[in-house]
Amino acid sequence: MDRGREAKAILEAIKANRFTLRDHAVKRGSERMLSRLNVINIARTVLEWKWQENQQTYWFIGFLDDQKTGGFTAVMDNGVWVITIFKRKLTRREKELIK
Amino acid sequence: MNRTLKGFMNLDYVEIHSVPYVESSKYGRGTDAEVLKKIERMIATALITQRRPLRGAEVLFLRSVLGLSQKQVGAHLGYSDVAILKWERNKTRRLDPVNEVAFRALMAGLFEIKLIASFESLLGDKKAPKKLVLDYNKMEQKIAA
Repeated sequence: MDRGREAKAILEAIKANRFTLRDHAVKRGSERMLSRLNVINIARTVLEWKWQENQQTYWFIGFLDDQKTGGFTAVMDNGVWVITIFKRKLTRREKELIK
Repeated sequence: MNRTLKGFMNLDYVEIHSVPYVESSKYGRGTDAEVLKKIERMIATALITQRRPLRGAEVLFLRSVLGLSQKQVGAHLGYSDVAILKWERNKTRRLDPVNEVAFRALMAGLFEIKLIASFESLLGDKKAPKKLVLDYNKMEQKIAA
């Protein structure tokens, strides 16, 4: 499967609540007050994604709610695993992309 | 395979027993999103029905679990999003009695939980939050029955 198709498959699984949240992601989510629904919201509103060769994970960024943005990294390993979740402000280039 | 989850979304007093988990050789342990969904609902129900004091941490938890923005919660209660932000910012400060009752009633409605609607029954206990111990297996059995 090519990267684009795999990324799309990951997003579809997350939107359908078919994923596993790694313990690390649950911990980070608790610290940053990010919930399972935030991950789904990011998947629904993805602004940008990329394959991270170093980490061997997909990186996604989207909206947490109306205004705030955040992201997660995920991978396919016998189902979709969300590795970590984070909050992140948009860069100038990303803001321009939305416009 | 089951285990105990301690602390959830900054609610450090929460303890959930018999939580099923999955294991990957590469990524370690993880929890299925469907299981997390049920746990979120379990905690929310306990917070609403057990007259637990509602502080900033609980407001933020309940709002996040429903996937509502501060603006949406504010609109239900006739407050601005800034008012809700202020509640949530102070995680250990309890809501005023009127706000606590209104917020609990709102959450009960949104979670479709039936409550006895008297002011006293909706007002949380005066004591600080005690340990909240829940059992995932028992909850599953209850649903199945």
